[in-house]
Amino acid sequence: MKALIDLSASLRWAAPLAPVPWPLLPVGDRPWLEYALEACAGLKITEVRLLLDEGAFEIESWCGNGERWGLAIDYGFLRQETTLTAWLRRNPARWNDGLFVLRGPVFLRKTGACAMELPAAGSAWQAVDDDAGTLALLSRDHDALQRWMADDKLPPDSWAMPCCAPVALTSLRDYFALNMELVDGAIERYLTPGYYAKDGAYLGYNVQVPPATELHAPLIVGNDCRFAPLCNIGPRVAIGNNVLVDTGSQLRNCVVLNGTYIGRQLELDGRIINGARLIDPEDGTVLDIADPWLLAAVHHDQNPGRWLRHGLAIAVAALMVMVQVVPWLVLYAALRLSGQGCYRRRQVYRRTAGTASGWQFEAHPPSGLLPRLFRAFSFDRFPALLAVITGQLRLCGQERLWVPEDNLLRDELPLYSPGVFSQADTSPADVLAPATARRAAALYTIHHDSLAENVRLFWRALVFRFVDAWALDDRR
Amino acid sequence: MTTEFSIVNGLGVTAPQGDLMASTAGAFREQFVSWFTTAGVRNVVVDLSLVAFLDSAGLGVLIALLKRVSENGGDLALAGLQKKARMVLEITRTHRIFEIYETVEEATRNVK
Repeated sequence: MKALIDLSASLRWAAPLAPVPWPLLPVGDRPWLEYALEACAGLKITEVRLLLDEGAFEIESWCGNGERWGLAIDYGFLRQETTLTAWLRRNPARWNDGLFVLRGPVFLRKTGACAMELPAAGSAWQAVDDDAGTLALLSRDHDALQRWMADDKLPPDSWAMPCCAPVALTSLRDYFALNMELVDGAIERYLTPGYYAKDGAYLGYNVQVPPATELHAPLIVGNDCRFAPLCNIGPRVAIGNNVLVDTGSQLRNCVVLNGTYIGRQLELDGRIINGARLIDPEDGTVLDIADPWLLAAVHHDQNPGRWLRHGLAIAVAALMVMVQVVPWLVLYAALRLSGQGCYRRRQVYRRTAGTASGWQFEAHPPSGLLPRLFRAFSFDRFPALLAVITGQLRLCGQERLWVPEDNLLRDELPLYSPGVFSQADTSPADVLAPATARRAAALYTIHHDSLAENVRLFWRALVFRFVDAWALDDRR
Repeated sequence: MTTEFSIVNGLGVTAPQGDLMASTAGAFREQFVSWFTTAGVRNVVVDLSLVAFLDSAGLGVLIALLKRVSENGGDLALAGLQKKARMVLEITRTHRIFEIYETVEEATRNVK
Protein backbone atom coordinates (compact mmCIF):
# COMPACT_ATOMS: atom_id res chain seq x y z
CA MET A 1 0.00 0.00 0.00
CA LYS A 2 1.21 3.48 -0.86
CA ALA A 3 0.36 7.02 0.17
CA LEU A 4 0.01 10.12 -1.93
CA ILE A 5 -0.14 13.52 -0.28
CA ASP A 6 -1.01 16.34 -2.63
CA LEU A 7 0.44 19.59 -1.27
CA SER A 8 0.12 21.54 -4.51
CA ALA A 9 -2.97 23.52 -3.50
CA SER A 10 -2.55 27.25 -3.13
CA LEU A 11 -4.41 28.36 -0.01
CA ARG A 12 -5.45 31.99 -0.07
CA TRP A 13 -6.53 31.95 3.56
CA ALA A 14 -3.04 30.84 4.63
CA ALA A 15 -1.29 33.72 2.85
CA PRO A 16 -1.05 35.89 6.02
CA LEU A 17 0.86 33.04 7.69
CA ALA A 18 3.68 33.25 5.09
CA PRO A 19 6.57 32.68 4.67
CA VAL A 20 5.87 29.21 6.06
CA PRO A 21 4.42 26.97 3.33
CA TRP A 22 1.01 25.77 4.44
CA PRO A 23 2.01 22.08 4.85
CA LEU A 24 4.56 23.20 7.44
CA LEU A 25 2.20 25.48 9.37
CA PRO A 26 2.32 24.56 13.03
CA VAL A 27 -0.69 22.77 14.44
CA GLY A 28 -0.18 22.30 18.15
CA ASP A 29 3.46 23.31 17.59
CA ARG A 30 4.10 20.55 15.03
CA PRO A 31 3.88 21.00 11.28
CA TRP A 32 0.58 19.86 9.77
CA LEU A 33 2.54 17.59 7.45
CA GLU A 34 3.98 15.66 10.38
CA TYR A 35 0.49 14.53 11.39
CA ALA A 36 -0.13 13.33 7.84
CA LEU A 37 3.16 11.41 7.74
CA GLU A 38 2.50 9.89 11.16
CA ALA A 39 -0.90 8.78 9.89
CA CYS A 40 0.89 7.00 7.03
CA ALA A 41 3.23 5.34 9.51
CA GLY A 42 0.22 4.40 11.66
CA LEU A 43 -1.38 2.71 8.65
CA LYS A 44 1.84 0.71 8.14
CA ILE A 45 2.45 2.45 4.84
CA THR A 46 6.11 2.79 3.97
CA GLU A 47 6.09 4.42 0.53
CA VAL A 48 4.89 8.02 0.40
CA ARG A 49 4.85 10.37 -2.55
CA LEU A 50 4.51 14.11 -1.87
CA LEU A 51 3.22 16.30 -4.69
CA LEU A 52 4.69 19.76 -4.24
CA ASP A 53 4.32 23.27 -5.55
CA GLU A 54 4.92 26.47 -3.58
CA GLY A 55 7.48 26.00 -0.82
CA ALA A 56 8.83 22.79 -2.39
CA PHE A 57 12.39 23.44 -1.25
CA GLU A 58 11.40 24.02 2.40
CA ILE A 59 9.15 20.97 2.46
CA GLU A 60 11.77 18.71 0.94
CA SER A 61 14.44 20.04 3.32
CA TRP A 62 12.19 19.38 6.28
CA CYS A 63 11.00 15.89 5.30
CA GLY A 64 14.22 14.56 3.84
CA ASN A 65 13.89 10.93 2.82
CA GLY A 66 11.34 10.22 5.55
CA GLU A 67 13.66 7.99 7.53
CA ARG A 68 12.69 9.47 10.88
CA TRP A 69 9.10 8.25 10.45
CA GLY A 70 10.19 4.93 9.00
CA LEU A 71 8.93 6.04 5.58
CA ALA A 72 10.48 6.24 2.14
CA ILE A 73 9.41 9.63 0.82
CA ASP A 74 9.82 10.72 -2.75
CA TYR A 75 8.64 13.88 -4.44
CA GLY A 76 6.83 14.98 -7.52
CA PHE A 77 5.08 18.01 -8.99
CA LEU A 78 1.53 18.30 -10.16
CA ARG A 79 1.07 20.68 -13.06
CA GLN A 80 -1.80 23.08 -12.56
CA GLU A 81 -3.69 21.76 -15.57
CA THR A 82 -3.33 18.15 -14.41
CA THR A 83 -5.86 16.58 -12.07
CA LEU A 84 -4.82 14.20 -9.35
CA THR A 85 -6.55 11.27 -11.03
CA ALA A 86 -4.89 12.07 -14.35
CA TRP A 87 -1.56 12.04 -12.55
CA LEU A 88 -2.38 8.66 -10.96
CA ARG A 89 -3.45 7.22 -14.33
CA ARG A 90 0.07 7.67 -15.65
CA ASN A 91 1.06 4.53 -13.77
CA PRO A 92 -2.16 2.84 -12.59
CA ALA A 93 -0.54 -0.49 -11.76
CA ARG A 94 1.57 1.19 -9.11
CA TRP A 95 -1.48 1.63 -6.87
CA ASN A 96 -2.74 -1.94 -7.13
CA ASP A 97 -1.85 -2.72 -3.51
CA GLY A 98 -4.04 0.06 -2.23
CA LEU A 99 -3.78 3.80 -1.81
CA PHE A 100 -4.07 6.43 0.88
CA VAL A 101 -4.63 9.90 -0.57
CA LEU A 102 -4.69 13.25 1.19
CA ARG A 103 -5.33 16.24 -1.03
CA GLY A 104 -5.14 19.74 0.41
CA PRO A 105 -5.19 20.71 4.08
CA VAL A 106 -7.05 17.75 5.57
CA PHE A 107 -6.38 17.07 9.22
CA LEU A 108 -7.05 13.55 10.45
CA ARG A 109 -8.72 14.36 13.72
CA LYS A 110 -8.54 11.60 16.29
CA THR A 111 -11.53 11.40 18.56
CA GLY A 112 -10.03 8.77 20.81
CA ALA A 113 -6.81 7.03 21.66
CA CYS A 114 -7.11 4.15 19.20
CA ALA A 115 -4.87 2.94 16.39
CA MET A 116 -5.32 3.77 12.73
CA GLU A 117 -7.19 1.08 10.79
CA LEU A 118 -7.50 0.04 7.19
CA PRO A 119 -10.84 -0.59 5.48
CA ALA A 120 -11.80 -4.18 4.81
CA ALA A 121 -10.63 -5.66 1.55
CA GLY A 122 -12.96 -4.66 -1.25
CA SER A 123 -14.13 -1.45 0.36
CA ALA A 124 -13.00 2.18 0.32
CA TRP A 125 -13.32 5.10 2.69
CA GLN A 126 -13.43 8.57 1.33
CA ALA A 127 -14.25 12.07 2.56
CA VAL A 128 -14.53 14.84 -0.01
CA ASP A 129 -15.04 18.56 0.47
CA ASP A 130 -15.55 20.02 -2.99
CA ASP A 131 -15.75 23.59 -1.71
CA ALA A 132 -12.42 23.30 0.04
CA GLY A 133 -10.94 21.10 -2.69
CA THR A 134 -9.86 18.51 -0.14
CA LEU A 135 -9.98 14.75 -0.26
CA ALA A 136 -9.11 11.90 2.07
CA LEU A 137 -9.22 8.47 0.49
CA LEU A 138 -8.18 5.12 1.86
CA SER A 139 -8.74 1.96 -0.10
CA ARG A 140 -7.36 -1.50 -0.68
CA ASP A 141 -9.96 -2.14 -3.33
CA HIS A 142 -8.23 -2.26 -6.69
CA ASP A 143 -11.48 -1.98 -8.68
CA ALA A 144 -12.73 1.04 -6.72
CA LEU A 145 -9.41 2.80 -7.24
CA GLN A 146 -9.37 2.05 -10.94
CA ARG A 147 -12.94 3.36 -11.29
CA TRP A 148 -12.01 6.56 -9.48
CA MET A 149 -8.91 7.05 -11.60
CA ALA A 150 -10.91 6.41 -14.78
CA ASP A 151 -13.81 8.83 -14.29
CA ASP A 152 -12.57 11.08 -11.45
CA LYS A 153 -15.81 10.54 -9.54
CA LEU A 154 -16.11 9.25 -6.04
CA PRO A 155 -19.18 7.82 -4.36
CA PRO A 156 -20.61 9.85 -1.46
CA ASP A 157 -18.66 10.22 1.76
CA SER A 158 -18.08 6.90 3.40
CA TRP A 159 -15.27 7.52 5.85
CA ALA A 160 -15.75 4.97 8.60
CA MET A 161 -12.47 4.72 10.45
CA PRO A 162 -13.26 4.55 14.16
CA CYS A 163 -11.75 7.36 16.27
CA CYS A 164 -10.41 9.25 13.25
CA ALA A 165 -12.23 11.65 10.95
CA PRO A 166 -10.81 13.92 8.25
CA VAL A 167 -11.43 17.63 8.78
CA ALA A 168 -10.80 20.19 6.04
CA LEU A 169 -9.13 23.42 7.08
CA THR A 170 -10.78 26.13 5.04
CA SER A 171 -10.06 29.35 6.89
CA LEU A 172 -7.91 31.05 9.48
CA ARG A 173 -10.75 30.43 11.90
CA ASP A 174 -10.53 26.66 11.32
CA TYR A 175 -6.76 26.76 11.71
CA PHE A 176 -6.99 28.71 14.95
CA ALA A 177 -9.77 26.49 16.33
CA LEU A 178 -7.76 23.34 15.58
CA ASN A 179 -4.76 24.73 17.42
CA MET A 180 -6.91 25.59 20.41
CA GLU A 181 -8.42 22.10 20.35
CA LEU A 182 -4.95 20.56 20.51
CA VAL A 183 -3.82 22.93 23.25
CA ASP A 184 -6.92 22.03 25.23
CA GLY A 185 -5.71 18.45 25.45
CA ALA A 186 -6.34 16.74 22.13
CA ILE A 187 -2.58 16.81 21.47
CA GLU A 188 -2.21 13.80 23.78
CA ARG A 189 -3.84 11.59 21.14
CA TYR A 190 -1.11 12.41 18.65
CA LEU A 191 1.97 12.12 20.83
CA THR A 192 4.18 9.15 21.39
CA PRO A 193 3.58 7.70 24.87
CA GLY A 194 6.07 9.26 27.25
CA TYR A 195 5.60 12.78 25.89
CA TYR A 196 2.29 13.17 27.63
CA ALA A 197 2.34 15.98 30.18
CA LYS A 198 -0.26 15.44 32.82
CA ASP A 199 -0.77 19.09 33.70
CA GLY A 200 -1.40 20.10 30.09
CA ALA A 201 1.78 22.19 29.78
CA TYR A 202 4.14 21.16 26.99
CA LEU A 203 7.47 22.98 27.03
CA GLY A 204 10.16 22.51 24.39
CA TYR A 205 13.91 22.55 24.82
CA ASN A 206 15.80 25.60 26.00
CA VAL A 207 12.81 27.56 27.25
CA GLN A 208 13.76 30.26 29.75
CA VAL A 209 11.08 31.24 32.23
CA PRO A 210 12.09 33.64 35.01
CA PRO A 211 10.50 33.14 38.43
CA ALA A 212 8.34 36.26 38.09
CA THR A 213 6.63 34.95 34.96
CA GLU A 214 3.55 32.76 35.24
CA LEU A 215 2.62 30.00 32.84
CA HIS A 216 -0.98 28.82 32.97
CA ALA A 217 -1.91 25.46 31.48
CA PRO A 218 -3.09 24.39 29.04
CA LEU A 219 -0.34 25.66 26.82
CA ILE A 220 2.30 24.53 24.35
CA VAL A 221 5.67 26.25 24.09
CA GLY A 222 8.21 25.36 21.40
CA ASN A 223 12.00 25.29 21.52
CA ASP A 224 14.37 28.18 22.22
CA CYS A 225 11.79 30.54 23.68
CA ARG A 226 12.51 33.33 26.17
CA PHE A 227 10.08 34.98 28.51
CA ALA A 228 11.04 38.21 30.28
CA PRO A 229 9.89 38.77 33.88
CA LEU A 230 6.28 39.53 34.82
CA CYS A 231 4.75 37.85 31.80
CA ASN A 232 1.46 36.03 32.09
CA ILE A 233 1.26 33.24 29.53
CA GLY A 234 -1.84 31.12 29.06
CA PRO A 235 -4.21 29.52 29.33
CA ARG A 236 -4.76 28.24 25.77
CA VAL A 237 -1.62 29.41 24.07
CA ALA A 238 0.39 27.64 21.36
CA ILE A 239 3.82 29.23 20.99
CA GLY A 240 6.24 28.17 18.27
CA ASN A 241 10.04 28.08 18.26
CA ASN A 242 12.36 31.09 18.74
CA VAL A 243 9.73 33.31 20.32
CA LEU A 244 10.67 36.17 22.63
CA VAL A 245 8.07 37.69 24.95
CA ASP A 246 9.14 40.91 26.62
CA THR A 247 8.41 42.19 30.12
CA GLY A 248 4.90 42.26 31.45
CA SER A 249 3.06 40.94 28.41
CA GLN A 250 -0.03 38.75 28.66
CA LEU A 251 -1.04 36.08 26.17
CA ARG A 252 -4.31 34.16 26.21
CA ASN A 253 -6.04 32.13 23.50
CA CYS A 254 -3.26 32.83 21.03
CA VAL A 255 -1.26 31.06 18.38
CA VAL A 256 2.24 32.51 18.08
CA LEU A 257 4.21 31.35 15.05
CA ASN A 258 7.95 30.72 14.94
CA GLY A 259 10.36 33.64 15.13
CA THR A 260 8.17 36.25 16.76
CA TYR A 261 9.08 39.03 19.18
CA ILE A 262 6.27 40.33 21.40
CA GLY A 263 7.02 43.72 22.94
CA ARG A 264 6.59 44.98 26.46
CA GLN A 265 3.30 45.24 28.31
CA LEU A 266 1.20 43.93 25.46
CA GLU A 267 -2.04 42.05 25.90
CA LEU A 268 -2.91 39.53 23.22
CA ASP A 269 -6.13 37.59 23.35
CA GLY A 270 -7.73 35.53 20.58
CA ARG A 271 -5.13 36.36 17.96
CA ILE A 272 -2.62 34.70 15.66
CA ILE A 273 0.77 36.41 15.76
CA ASN A 274 3.19 35.81 12.91
CA GLY A 275 6.29 37.97 13.30
CA ALA A 276 5.17 41.58 12.97
CA ARG A 277 1.76 40.48 11.76
CA LEU A 278 -1.30 40.43 13.97
CA ILE A 279 -4.24 38.41 12.69
CA ASP A 280 -7.79 38.23 13.92
CA PRO A 281 -8.83 34.66 13.03
CA GLU A 282 -12.53 35.47 13.38
CA ASP A 283 -12.79 37.86 10.47
CA GLY A 284 -9.35 37.45 8.89
CA THR A 285 -8.23 41.01 9.58
CA VAL A 286 -4.47 41.24 9.08
CA LEU A 287 -2.51 44.04 10.66
CA ASP A 288 1.14 44.47 9.72
CA ILE A 289 2.67 46.36 12.60
CA ALA A 290 5.66 48.29 11.34
CA ASP A 291 6.82 49.03 14.86
CA PRO A 292 9.48 46.84 16.47
CA TRP A 293 8.49 48.14 19.90
CA LEU A 294 5.24 46.20 19.58
CA LEU A 295 5.73 43.13 17.38
CA ALA A 296 8.63 42.07 15.20
CA ALA A 297 9.98 39.08 13.35
CA VAL A 298 13.01 37.43 14.94
CA HIS A 299 15.57 36.61 12.31
CA HIS A 300 17.09 33.28 13.14
CA ASP A 301 19.15 32.84 10.04
CA GLN A 302 22.04 30.48 10.57
CA ASN A 303 22.82 30.10 6.89
CA PRO A 304 26.43 31.40 6.49
CA GLY A 305 25.98 31.71 2.71
CA ARG A 306 23.14 34.15 3.20
CA TRP A 307 25.15 36.25 5.65
CA LEU A 308 28.04 36.33 3.18
CA ARG A 309 25.64 37.49 0.47
CA HIS A 310 24.23 40.26 2.63
CA GLY A 311 27.72 41.36 3.67
CA LEU A 312 28.89 41.50 0.06
CA ALA A 313 25.78 43.42 -0.98
CA ILE A 314 26.35 46.03 1.73
CA ALA A 315 30.02 46.36 0.72
CA VAL A 316 29.09 46.82 -2.96
CA ALA A 317 26.37 49.35 -2.06
CA ALA A 318 28.83 51.31 0.11
CA LEU A 319 31.36 51.32 -2.72
CA MET A 320 28.74 52.53 -5.19
CA VAL A 321 27.68 55.30 -2.79
CA MET A 322 31.28 56.49 -2.44
CA VAL A 323 31.84 56.48 -6.19
CA GLN A 324 28.47 58.05 -7.03
CA VAL A 325 28.07 60.71 -4.34
CA VAL A 326 29.88 63.59 -6.11
CA PRO A 327 28.52 63.04 -9.65
CA TRP A 328 25.08 62.39 -8.16
CA LEU A 329 25.13 65.74 -6.34
CA VAL A 330 26.24 67.60 -9.48
CA LEU A 331 23.78 65.90 -11.81
CA TYR A 332 20.85 66.13 -9.42
CA ALA A 333 21.48 69.83 -8.85
CA ALA A 334 21.52 70.29 -12.63
CA LEU A 335 18.28 68.31 -12.97
CA ARG A 336 16.52 70.37 -10.32
CA LEU A 337 17.75 73.68 -11.71
CA SER A 338 16.65 72.75 -15.23
CA GLY A 339 13.36 71.33 -13.94
CA GLN A 340 13.94 68.04 -15.73
CA GLY A 341 13.59 65.71 -12.79
CA CYS A 342 13.23 65.32 -9.08
CA TYR A 343 12.59 62.71 -6.42
CA ARG A 344 9.05 62.24 -5.22
CA ARG A 345 8.36 60.90 -1.75
CA ARG A 346 5.93 58.00 -1.88
CA GLN A 347 4.72 55.15 0.28
CA VAL A 348 6.49 51.90 -0.49
CA TYR A 349 6.02 48.44 1.00
CA ARG A 350 8.66 47.56 3.56
CA ARG A 351 10.57 44.29 3.56
CA THR A 352 9.33 43.29 7.00
CA ALA A 353 5.81 44.64 7.29
CA GLY A 354 3.76 47.73 6.61
CA THR A 355 4.79 50.69 4.52
CA ALA A 356 7.42 53.40 4.70
CA SER A 357 8.40 56.49 2.79
CA GLY A 358 10.55 55.90 -0.26
CA TRP A 359 12.01 58.14 -2.94
CA GLN A 360 11.02 57.60 -6.56
CA PHE A 361 12.77 59.52 -9.31
CA GLU A 362 10.62 61.22 -11.92
CA ALA A 363 12.00 62.81 -15.06
CA HIS A 364 10.21 65.29 -17.30
CA PRO A 365 10.77 64.39 -20.06
CA PRO A 366 12.56 61.02 -19.56
CA SER A 367 14.29 61.33 -22.91
CA GLY A 368 16.19 64.52 -22.01
CA LEU A 369 19.96 64.32 -21.88
CA LEU A 370 20.28 64.84 -18.13
CA PRO A 371 17.56 62.30 -17.14
CA ARG A 372 19.09 59.78 -19.52
CA LEU A 373 22.51 60.28 -17.98
CA PHE A 374 20.96 60.01 -14.52
CA ARG A 375 19.34 56.71 -15.40
CA ALA A 376 22.23 55.33 -17.45
CA PHE A 377 24.55 55.40 -14.45
CA SER A 378 21.78 54.37 -12.03
CA PHE A 379 22.07 57.62 -10.09
CA ASP A 380 18.28 57.52 -9.72
CA ARG A 381 18.78 54.60 -7.29
CA PHE A 382 21.20 56.52 -5.06
CA PRO A 383 18.77 56.93 -2.09
CA ALA A 384 17.92 53.22 -2.37
CA LEU A 385 21.62 52.33 -2.09
CA LEU A 386 21.70 54.13 1.25
CA ALA A 387 18.79 51.92 2.34
CA VAL A 388 20.89 48.84 1.51
CA ILE A 389 23.58 50.01 3.91
CA THR A 390 21.01 50.48 6.68
CA GLY A 391 19.58 47.01 6.01
CA GLN A 392 16.17 48.18 4.80
CA LEU A 393 16.67 47.00 1.23
CA ARG A 394 18.66 44.35 -0.57
CA LEU A 395 20.98 45.18 -3.42
CA CYS A 396 19.35 42.59 -5.68
CA GLY A 397 15.87 41.40 -4.94
CA GLN A 398 12.29 41.79 -5.98
CA GLU A 399 10.93 44.89 -7.63
CA ARG A 400 9.94 47.53 -5.09
CA LEU A 401 6.17 47.74 -4.71
CA TRP A 402 4.49 51.10 -4.29
CA VAL A 403 1.27 52.06 -2.58
CA PRO A 404 -1.45 51.98 -3.83
CA GLU A 405 -0.86 50.73 -7.39
CA ASP A 406 0.92 47.54 -6.29
CA ASN A 407 -1.44 46.58 -3.42
CA LEU A 408 -2.82 43.59 -5.31
CA LEU A 409 0.60 42.25 -6.26
CA ARG A 410 1.84 42.62 -2.69
CA ASP A 411 -1.12 40.58 -1.43
CA GLU A 412 -0.30 37.82 -3.88
CA LEU A 413 3.36 37.44 -2.95
CA PRO A 414 4.11 34.92 -0.22
CA LEU A 415 7.52 36.52 0.33
CA TYR A 416 8.60 40.06 -0.33
CA SER A 417 12.25 40.99 -0.29
CA PRO A 418 12.73 44.15 -2.35
CA GLY A 419 16.04 45.20 -3.82
CA VAL A 420 17.59 48.23 -5.49
CA PHE A 421 17.93 46.17 -8.66
CA SER A 422 15.42 43.60 -9.78
CA GLN A 423 14.31 41.57 -12.77
CA ALA A 424 12.27 44.61 -13.82
CA ASP A 425 15.55 46.42 -14.54
CA THR A 426 16.36 43.94 -17.25
CA SER A 427 13.38 44.96 -19.38
CA PRO A 428 12.70 48.30 -21.11
CA ALA A 429 11.74 51.06 -18.67
CA ASP A 430 8.91 52.50 -20.73
CA VAL A 431 7.23 49.19 -21.45
CA LEU A 432 4.80 48.37 -18.69
CA ALA A 433 5.08 44.69 -17.87
CA PRO A 434 1.76 42.88 -17.41
CA ALA A 435 0.83 41.95 -13.85
CA THR A 436 1.41 38.25 -14.50
CA ALA A 437 4.95 38.92 -15.76
CA ARG A 438 5.73 41.04 -12.71
CA ARG A 439 4.35 38.34 -10.41
CA ALA A 440 6.37 35.70 -12.22
CA ALA A 441 9.54 37.81 -11.93
CA ALA A 442 8.93 38.33 -8.20
CA LEU A 443 8.37 34.62 -7.62
CA TYR A 444 11.41 33.74 -9.75
CA THR A 445 13.54 35.94 -7.49
CA ILE A 446 12.27 34.13 -4.38
CA HIS A 447 13.06 30.72 -5.79
CA HIS A 448 16.44 31.61 -7.33
CA ASP A 449 18.01 33.50 -4.48
CA SER A 450 21.72 32.75 -4.60
CA LEU A 451 25.01 34.60 -4.78
CA ALA A 452 25.54 33.64 -8.43
CA GLU A 453 22.01 34.72 -9.35
CA ASN A 454 22.42 38.04 -7.53
CA VAL A 455 25.73 38.76 -9.27
CA ARG A 456 24.15 37.93 -12.63
CA LEU A 457 21.15 40.16 -11.93
CA PHE A 458 23.35 43.02 -10.68
CA TRP A 459 25.52 43.19 -13.80
CA ARG A 460 22.62 42.62 -16.17
CA ALA A 461 20.66 45.42 -14.50
CA LEU A 462 23.57 47.88 -14.63
CA VAL A 463 24.34 47.15 -18.27
CA PHE A 464 20.71 47.02 -19.38
CA ARG A 465 19.83 50.28 -17.63
CA PHE A 466 22.81 51.96 -19.32
CA VAL A 467 21.79 50.74 -22.76
CA ASP A 468 18.07 51.30 -22.21
CA ALA A 469 18.57 54.90 -21.10
CA TRP A 470 19.92 55.83 -24.53
CA ALA A 471 17.23 53.87 -26.33
CA LEU A 472 14.38 55.60 -24.52
CA ASP A 473 13.66 58.38 -27.00
CA ASP A 474 14.12 56.04 -29.97
CA ARG A 475 11.10 54.06 -28.91
CA ARG A 476 8.90 57.05 -28.15
CA MET B 1 -0.76 63.93 7.40
CA THR B 2 -3.53 66.49 7.28
CA THR B 3 -5.67 67.30 10.29
CA GLU B 4 -8.98 69.06 10.50
CA PHE B 5 -10.04 70.95 13.61
CA SER B 6 -13.53 72.13 14.42
CA ILE B 7 -15.70 73.10 17.36
CA VAL B 8 -19.12 71.47 17.68
CA ASN B 9 -21.38 72.76 20.49
CA GLY B 10 -18.34 73.90 22.47
CA LEU B 11 -16.61 70.55 22.00
CA GLY B 12 -13.33 70.39 20.10
CA VAL B 13 -13.22 67.81 17.32
CA THR B 14 -9.96 66.93 15.62
CA ALA B 15 -9.79 64.56 12.68
CA PRO B 16 -6.32 63.42 11.57
CA GLN B 17 -6.11 61.71 8.20
CA GLY B 18 -3.56 59.04 7.27
CA ASP B 19 -1.39 56.76 9.36
CA LEU B 20 -0.48 58.04 12.83
CA MET B 21 3.11 56.83 12.97
CA ALA B 22 6.56 57.96 14.06
CA SER B 23 6.93 60.01 10.88
CA THR B 24 3.62 61.88 11.28
CA ALA B 25 2.83 61.84 15.01
CA GLY B 26 5.09 64.78 15.89
CA ALA B 27 3.44 67.08 13.35
CA PHE B 28 -0.03 66.07 14.54
CA ARG B 29 0.92 66.79 18.13
CA GLU B 30 2.28 70.24 17.28
CA GLN B 31 -0.80 71.12 15.25
CA PHE B 32 -3.06 69.93 18.04
CA VAL B 33 -1.23 71.83 20.80
CA SER B 34 -1.18 75.02 18.77
CA TRP B 35 -4.93 74.71 18.05
CA PHE B 36 -5.87 73.64 21.58
CA THR B 37 -4.12 76.59 23.24
CA THR B 38 -6.05 79.07 21.12
CA ALA B 39 -9.39 77.32 20.58
CA GLY B 40 -10.61 77.72 24.18
CA VAL B 41 -12.24 74.30 24.44
CA ARG B 42 -12.05 71.95 27.41
CA ASN B 43 -13.26 68.66 26.00
CA VAL B 44 -11.94 67.11 22.80
CA VAL B 45 -12.98 64.25 20.55
CA VAL B 46 -10.33 62.75 18.30
CA ASP B 47 -12.05 61.38 15.20
CA LEU B 48 -9.88 58.47 14.06
CA SER B 49 -12.19 57.28 11.28
CA LEU B 50 -9.59 58.25 8.66
CA VAL B 51 -6.63 56.76 10.52
CA ALA B 52 -5.94 53.27 9.19
CA PHE B 53 -2.96 52.48 11.40
CA LEU B 54 -1.18 53.86 14.43
CA ASP B 55 2.04 52.68 16.02
CA SER B 56 3.65 53.21 19.41
CA ALA B 57 4.62 56.79 18.49
CA GLY B 58 1.01 57.52 17.50
CA LEU B 59 -0.22 56.01 20.74
CA GLY B 60 2.31 58.11 22.63
CA VAL B 61 0.91 61.26 21.04
CA LEU B 62 -2.68 60.29 21.88
CA ILE B 63 -1.65 59.74 25.50
CA ALA B 64 0.21 63.07 25.54
CA LEU B 65 -2.93 64.79 24.21
CA LEU B 66 -5.03 63.08 26.88
CA LYS B 67 -2.63 64.34 29.54
CA ARG B 68 -2.69 67.85 28.12
CA VAL B 69 -6.49 68.00 27.97
CA SER B 70 -6.84 66.46 31.45
CA GLU B 71 -4.49 69.05 32.90
CA ASN B 72 -6.91 71.70 31.64
CA GLY B 73 -9.75 69.93 33.43
CA GLY B 74 -11.26 68.41 30.30
CA ASP B 75 -11.81 64.99 28.78
CA LEU B 76 -10.45 63.48 25.59
CA ALA B 77 -12.40 60.77 23.80
CA LEU B 78 -11.68 58.74 20.71
CA ALA B 79 -14.28 58.06 18.05
CA GLY B 80 -14.70 56.18 14.78
CA LEU B 81 -11.85 53.74 15.32
CA GLN B 82 -11.14 51.44 12.39
CA LYS B 83 -10.61 47.76 13.12
CA LYS B 84 -6.82 47.86 12.72
CA ALA B 85 -6.37 50.92 14.92
CA ARG B 86 -8.62 49.31 17.52
CA MET B 87 -6.47 46.16 17.44
CA VAL B 88 -3.39 48.26 18.23
CA LEU B 89 -5.19 49.96 21.13
CA GLU B 90 -6.30 46.58 22.44
CA ILE B 91 -2.92 44.87 22.40
CA THR B 92 -1.27 47.84 24.09
CA ARG B 93 -4.10 48.02 26.67
CA THR B 94 -4.56 51.72 25.93
CA HIS B 95 -8.24 51.11 25.13
CA ARG B 96 -8.72 51.08 28.89
CA ILE B 97 -7.50 54.62 29.46
CA PHE B 98 -9.50 56.31 26.70
CA GLU B 99 -13.21 56.82 26.37
CA ILE B 100 -13.99 55.22 23.02
CA TYR B 101 -17.15 55.79 20.98
CA GLU B 102 -18.30 54.31 17.71
CA THR B 103 -19.01 57.66 16.06
CA VAL B 104 -18.22 61.34 16.58
CA GLU B 105 -21.95 62.01 17.08
CA GLU B 106 -22.09 59.50 19.91
CA ALA B 107 -18.98 61.03 21.43
CA THR B 108 -20.34 64.58 21.25
CA ARG B 109 -23.52 63.41 22.99
CA ASN B 110 -21.63 61.76 25.83
CA VAL B 111 -18.56 63.91 26.43
CA LYS B 112 -19.59 66.79 28.66
